[in-house]
Amino acid sequence: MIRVIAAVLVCLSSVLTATAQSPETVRSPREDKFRQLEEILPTPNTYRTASGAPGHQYWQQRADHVIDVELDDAAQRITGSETITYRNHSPDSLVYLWLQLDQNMLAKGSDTQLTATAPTLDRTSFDQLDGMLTRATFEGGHVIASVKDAKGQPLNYTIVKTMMRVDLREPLAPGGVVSFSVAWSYNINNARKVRSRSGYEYFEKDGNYLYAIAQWFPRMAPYTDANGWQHKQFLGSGEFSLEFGDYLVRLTVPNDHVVAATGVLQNPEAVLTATQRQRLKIAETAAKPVQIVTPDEVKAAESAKPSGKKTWIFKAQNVRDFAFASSRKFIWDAHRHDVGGNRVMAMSFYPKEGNPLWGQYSTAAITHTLDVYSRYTFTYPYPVAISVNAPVGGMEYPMICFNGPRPEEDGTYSARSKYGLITVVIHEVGHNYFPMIVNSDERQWTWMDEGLNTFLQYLSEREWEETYPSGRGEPRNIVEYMSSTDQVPIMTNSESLLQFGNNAYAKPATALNILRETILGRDLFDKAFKEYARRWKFKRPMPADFFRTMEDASAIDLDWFWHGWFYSTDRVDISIERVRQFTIDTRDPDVENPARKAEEDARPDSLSEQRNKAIPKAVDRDPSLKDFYNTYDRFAVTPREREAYAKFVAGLSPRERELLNSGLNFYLVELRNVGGLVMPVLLKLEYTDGTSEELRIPAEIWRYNSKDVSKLVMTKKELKAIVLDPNLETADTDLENNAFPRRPVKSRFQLFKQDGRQPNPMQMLERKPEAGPNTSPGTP
Amino acid sequence: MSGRRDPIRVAARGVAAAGICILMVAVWPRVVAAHTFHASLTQIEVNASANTVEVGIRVFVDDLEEALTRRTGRRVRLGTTVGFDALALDYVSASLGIEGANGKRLAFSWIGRETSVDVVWLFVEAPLNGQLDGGRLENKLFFELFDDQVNTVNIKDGKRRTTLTFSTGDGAKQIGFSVDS
Ligand SMILES: [Zn+2]
Repeated sequence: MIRVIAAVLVCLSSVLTATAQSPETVRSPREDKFRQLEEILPTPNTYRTASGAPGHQYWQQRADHVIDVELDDAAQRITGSETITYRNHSPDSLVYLWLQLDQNMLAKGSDTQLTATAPTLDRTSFDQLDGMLTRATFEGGHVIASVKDAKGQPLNYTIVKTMMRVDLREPLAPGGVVSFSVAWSYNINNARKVRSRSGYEYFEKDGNYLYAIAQWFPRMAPYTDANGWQHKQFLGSGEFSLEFGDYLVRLTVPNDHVVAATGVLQNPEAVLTATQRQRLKIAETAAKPVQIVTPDEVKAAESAKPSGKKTWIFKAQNVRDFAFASSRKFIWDAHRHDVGGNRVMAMSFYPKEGNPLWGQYSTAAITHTLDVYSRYTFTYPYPVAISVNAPVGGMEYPMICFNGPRPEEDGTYSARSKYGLITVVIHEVGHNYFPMIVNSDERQWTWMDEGLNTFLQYLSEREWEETYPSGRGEPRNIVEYMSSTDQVPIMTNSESLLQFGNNAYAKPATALNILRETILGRDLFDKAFKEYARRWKFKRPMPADFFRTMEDASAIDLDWFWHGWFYSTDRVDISIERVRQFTIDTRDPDVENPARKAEEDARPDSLSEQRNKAIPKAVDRDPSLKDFYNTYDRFAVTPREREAYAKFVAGLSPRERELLNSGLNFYLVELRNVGGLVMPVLLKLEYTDGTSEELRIPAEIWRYNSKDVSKLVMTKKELKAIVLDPNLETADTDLENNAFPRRPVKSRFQLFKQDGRQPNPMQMLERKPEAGPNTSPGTP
Repeated sequence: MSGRRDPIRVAARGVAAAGICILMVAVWPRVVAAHTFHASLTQIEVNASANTVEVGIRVFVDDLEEALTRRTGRRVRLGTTVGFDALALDYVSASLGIEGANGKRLAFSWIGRETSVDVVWLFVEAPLNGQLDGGRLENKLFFELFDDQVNTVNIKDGKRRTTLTFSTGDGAKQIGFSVDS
């Protein structure tokens, strides 16, 4: 597709060059909104094809891990050692390896700390001051004890902020394998004070801790065909880019803790009671979640002390990361759910503070997410899917995610908290697909997983219930952001994004929704999107691979769309500037003369003409002053005119005669692209007879002139009005110019003020009773 | 958690040692989650026939609750706290300042709010004497909470439009419309 059009472009540009040479036509080149992306996108090669698929020599590195780790509940500390087996599938020799030390973001004097700008200090609470001091005094960061080769000999290493370079004794040849081990420790942050994507929460009332542990072991930085080593420093916003591998992790924790982790538990008989194992067996076939650890059991555990340690062993295959959670406060529910033939154990872990919400909704939201996402991408490939209630807003890892929402302390919850929880579980479980399995690089391009994930989240919310209060996805919800002039394009590096939420989540999600509903249609879009997911499952796509695949599978040139929505900050604002009506001159004097007379009669009298009407006239006082011209009717049909007309008609062919009497109206609709973003032109034609029809014109109408175009509408009916984008599909930022004749459009403010509380689901949210039912959690 | 948490004032003491220390430690990201971003969006429109300024402010519910909790020293929750709207108006009036071309700060009155899952639109209104063009605007919503807050303000006066962006620490900015908008 791209190549064919490129050939056309060449011809065009030679024409342009020719005209540019003549002196009187020297103008700045017209902006071509349909210019092909080819010159911006990386050149296709044997690793990545021009169609957007992995090339025949596509490669990616692999890193298998064996990790032993101990969680010190008394000191809130992690101590671990790992053996990484690194396979070099690249065609290059590597003399050193780079590892990521994410905890160093929390170290004193980190770039994150130094480059953050100051908050205002004019009103500071004691809480806030406490937070500031805790952060300042927190001894965070990875402490590396040793780095050794396979024989146990020390290897040289250098720590550069959040990255560590390990120098190999010999270069690692293409196809080679190297094993080395790292031992480390770090202090776990209090996630309520030192905010991060993981950490612990301390419950003052019962004196217990809950740990959500992630980015905890030195992880391989990716080495890729597109970027070489991805070791862009971690500042906090750009999440991760990682390599796939298998994990064997032995987690030693206090023996009264319950552990949730990426992967499958290998030694249930050693760490679970007989009762718990029995309940898990029931959960294998249960249609609803079964409690593996009950609230009563948790209550007992909360006031007891551990008598020793236990080691939980987990295995995970083909994952890009490993995270876990551990606490004696965990209620645990589970049931196995069939996802397109893969029987997945869906599980939730939460303290009693998470109920009543968690027992009712967490696991149900997991299975719903797996069902919907699998339909739009590929069958969920992992054996478990876990949601943990932890002191973070929401954060995803392979097979496991941490989610923050909780009911109020008195056990009541608002509907807002309910939908807040379901929304975040859908979003974070959904991240298993993007970027855990379709392994895009979030350090570089946040939209590639957040945008795609938010789009699928929106589709999943629509399938939860009809009136689900979705925040992102609907075109009308992005209008305010799109109309602000101070933004950066979606194709901006993760750490430089202004308005992260709108830019990397809402705008791409909305763009994809528009692409699906308005530009490609559901069938074509779904096929192409699924193809992208299929091609890049367990592989590492770049932005171009997405853009190219969507065109490759749909046969629609979308370069204009990527240009407008992903590479520019243009907004959608199309205006109907003018509508002109034309009719066919039949030349029949018996038709045209009366029509012209009617037109003349319809012309209003001027003010002077009106006032002069009553004044007595000379020709009335003396009728003899009148002659032929006083009675002559210039619209009266003369025999000569009739004769001329008969002659004219006689000379016409039957087809010409038919056209002449077709009674067609011609409307010339003049459109202006005010916002700059080219989009399809969607017109609703409203006729005087009360009927209407929709005219959907592809965006290519703008291809010769992206500023002003006219469209001819031919109809036997008479138009009363034209409305642009009548179904609010395109996120048009100014509706005032969307109708002809103009109609007053109310702003969000004016609508609210006028209608007061509109009966929309969002408002219903607040009216619902605040008190939630005090059901026992997780009861089937 | 109970107990009063009065706001305390951090006095600006030039470059005294204590002042420097506090500024140094305050620079820490508030990455509450993978997906926390501190942003608000305000739509301001001049209603020429009514001689008013109509304001819609879209904020995250969490942020607003936290701001009001800190401001009042008691736990404030949308939907349960009695008098929430008055607190919100008070906070908006203190944080969002609009001066017309005549230099007078506009006084907002409360119109209402519209809530969705995580965001709420707050609607306020103020009489306008004279022009907005040439006036000044400040928007320090949540600056006291987040060092990475970004407040976007779209202003519309008839056919003229402009956008002002305020990041934590930014003061008032001039309202001016570009010639061609
Ligand atoms: Zn996300």
